[in-house]
Order: sequence, then structure tokens, then C-alpha cells
Amino acid sequence: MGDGEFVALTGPSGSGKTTLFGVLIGEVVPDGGQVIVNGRNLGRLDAAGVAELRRDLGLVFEHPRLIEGLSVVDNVALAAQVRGRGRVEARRMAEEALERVNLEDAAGCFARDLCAGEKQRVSLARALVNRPVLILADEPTLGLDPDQALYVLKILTQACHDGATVLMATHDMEALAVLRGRVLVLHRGRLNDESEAEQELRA
Amino acid sequence: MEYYFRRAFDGIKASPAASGVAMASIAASVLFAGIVLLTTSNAYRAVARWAASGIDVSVYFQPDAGEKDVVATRTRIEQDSAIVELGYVSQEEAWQFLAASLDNSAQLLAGLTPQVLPASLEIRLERRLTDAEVDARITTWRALPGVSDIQSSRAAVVSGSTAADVVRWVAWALGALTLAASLLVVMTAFQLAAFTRRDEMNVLRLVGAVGRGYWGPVVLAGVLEGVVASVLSVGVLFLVFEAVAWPIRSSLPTFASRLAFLSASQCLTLLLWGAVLGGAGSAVAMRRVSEWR
Repeated sequence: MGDGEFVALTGPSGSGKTTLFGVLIGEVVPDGGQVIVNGRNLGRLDAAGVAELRRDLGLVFEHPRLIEGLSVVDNVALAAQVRGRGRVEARRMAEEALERVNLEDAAGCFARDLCAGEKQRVSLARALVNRPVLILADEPTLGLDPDQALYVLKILTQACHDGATVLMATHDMEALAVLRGRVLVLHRGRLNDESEAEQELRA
Repeated sequence: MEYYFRRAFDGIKASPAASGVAMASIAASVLFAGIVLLTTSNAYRAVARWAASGIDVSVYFQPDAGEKDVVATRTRIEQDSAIVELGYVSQEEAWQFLAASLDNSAQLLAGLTPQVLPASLEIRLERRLTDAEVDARITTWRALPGVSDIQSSRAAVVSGSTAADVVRWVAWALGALTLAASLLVVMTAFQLAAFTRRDEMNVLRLVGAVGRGYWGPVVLAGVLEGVVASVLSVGVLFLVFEAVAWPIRSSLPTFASRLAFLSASQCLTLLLWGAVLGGAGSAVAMRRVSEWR
């Protein structure tokens, strides 16, 4: 993937999209080959190195993975705090990120009180708070209503315009239809020929 | 440091029920340890004081013993270097002591005179003396002018020393039992707490918290919970102690003077114990949670 590129990764259920994401963030160890993310070879990283890599990434998952008992702003600020930001600065950065996902009014709410779409936007804000150069989003629109899904896609597209590289896995055809960028098709753990796949999808 | 405290407080806030269970288990453990410590230290103090006070010997005079005999006997006994204290108790003084000790039952003495009680020399010998040394003295003193009988507390002192040793060993055994039971209860409670917080742990891992940044706040939260729980426990223990000691003080002042709450260092030890339980419980639970992943 090139810098600032938006790449969509699609394929049927069980094709390996989530496994690939697990490999990219060091949660799944590959059987072979080399995995290079942000210029770092995952095979050569220890636990601290993997954690450092994760701190540099923006991660969004199908399930938002928020700490339900914490406020929205604290959930977002957590990612900044882990990167060594002080409480006040982390909070300011979190508030900015929440503005980007249009959730500044919900900053003080508990994560558990939000609807699915709002939770996913909080998850996006957490992914964006450190202004990462690479965003990995695994099925971020799954289970959301069309308006919320579109909003999530808009935020990711905007992040890409702001300079981030985005890799998004999805099998939401409506999402693929509105996206501008490369589309990769994964089938049984292998990438199909890009041009054929894209023609097929556009058709 | 701010990050650790912030995350620790956030962690407690995020799962108040789990934190509550963990704190309750620590509080119960510290309270139990405190009760054991308080009971055994008071028991040990009472027994040890009794055992450590020396060997009491009473030299009773015959009813017809004159002042000359008493002075001669006293002068002879006073020469013994193992004597810590020596006092003469006349028949009248013995009578007064008896009447005072009978308190409300003093009417039992009605119709009797002080002459029914013998005068005596009340002697306290050094505690280090052996049975043979005490017996040798008793044999010698029995032959002194005017002496009718001699009684010694040597056997009671030996029993007291044995009792003090027993109390000490019981305290150690109960302490070890408390330690093991506390660890078991607290580990289980923290494991439960960690299990309920596994999502939080996963989120932390996801955003790149690692090493101290990952486990530090959780262990710190455990330590804070432990300190708070043990402070509460010591407070409750103090209130319970006062509630129990108050009626004893008013009805048995002699006995009550020996009652004492835990010393500052013992209280500090309990706080430290609570903190260690909390920290260790968190650390072990975190390890388990990591294995569950």
C-alpha cells in the first residue's frame, strides 16, 4: 500500500480478512512469510515492539471494543495517554477527535449508554486521536444502519484526505460502491487479481 | 506516575462491583488477621506479664512469733542477692487485703478476727532461679525462727512461661493459617475482578499499552483497594475492640488495665498486609487473564 492510499479489502465470510488484520496488528502469528507494517517487520518485534507498533496505528473493529464503564472522552483519551500524553493534553486531543466524528456532545456520557453507531464513532475517534499514519478498519460498518455506516465511511475517507493510509476490510457492497480507491478481493486466504476483481465489483 | 494513578482510578470506576468484591475480600482478610493479632497479642501480654513478674514466695510466721523472730528472719532473708522485692505483711494488713479482695462478700468474715491469718514476708525472687535453687532457699528459710510455712509460685511461673510459649505458637499457627486463607480468598476475588475487566485489559493491549503501562495501573489499583480496605478494617476492629473493652473496663478494672488495642506498628503492618494482598492479587489475576487470552 502506498502512503495516503485508501484500500478496501473484501471477500466472502471466512476468506481471511479478520485473520489478516490479526496478523497486521500482531495478534495472530503467521505460518510463514514476512509481515511489514509501517516499515517494521513484525516477525522481528518482541511484545514491546508490537505494542509500540499498535500505538502508532489507528485500529477500528467490527465491535467497537470500548471500556463500557468509562466515559466517551476517557475511552478516547486512553489511546493518547498510552502514548505518554498528560491527562489534560490527552483530554484535549480526545475532544478534538470527538469533534471529528461529531460526538463532542456525548463526551461525558458512559460508553455503555451509546447506540451501536455512536460506539463505532467513538472507536473511530480513538483510532484518530493520535493522528496515525495507518488506519486499519475491520468491518467498521457491519451492523450499522445505512446513515451511520455512511457517516463512518465519510470519517475514514476524511482521515485519508488528511494524509492517513487506510486499509478497510468489508463485505458491505454499498460501502464499496461509495468508496474511491483500490479494492482487493481475498478468497480462501489469497488475493485475487486486482483488475479482474475490481471490474467484477464495479459491474 | 499520573498515568498510572489515572488509569488505576479509571479502572476502579469502570468496574465498581468487581472492585467492591476485591475490597470486601481484602477487608475481611485484614479484619480476620487483625482479630487474630489483637487476641493473641493481648493473651500473650497477659500470660507473659504473669510469667515474667518473678517467683513469689510467701514466708508465713507462727501465730506466736515475736517481733524479735520476725526481724531476725527478715534480716537473714534480706541477705539473699536473688531477692527483687521483700515486704512484711502483718496480720491486720493480711486481714485488710482479704476483706478488700472479697469485696461484696466481706460479710463472710463476720465473727472472725485478724489473728486467724498469719503474718508473712512477701518475697519476689528473680525469675531465672531454677527449681533446685528455689527449693534450697525454702529449706533454709523454713528453719529460721518463727517460720511456720513457706509457699512458692515457682510452679505457676513455669506454667506461665509454658503458656506464653503456647500462645506464641498458636499465634504463629493462626497467623500462617490466616495468611494462606487470605491469599486464597483474595486471589479468587481478584481473579473474578480481573475476569470482569478482561475487556478493559484487551482494549489496553489493543491501544498499545505494554509492560508497566499495561499491568502497572491494575496492580496500583489493587494496592489502593488494599490500603482503603485495610484502613476500613482497622477502623472497624478498633470500634469492635472499644465496644468489647468498655464493659470490661467498668466491671473488671484490674483486668482491663492489661487490655490494649494494636500498637501503631501492628496497625501499619495490617495496612501493609492489605496493600500487599491487593497488589499481589492483582498481579496474579492479571497473569491468569493474560493466559486466558
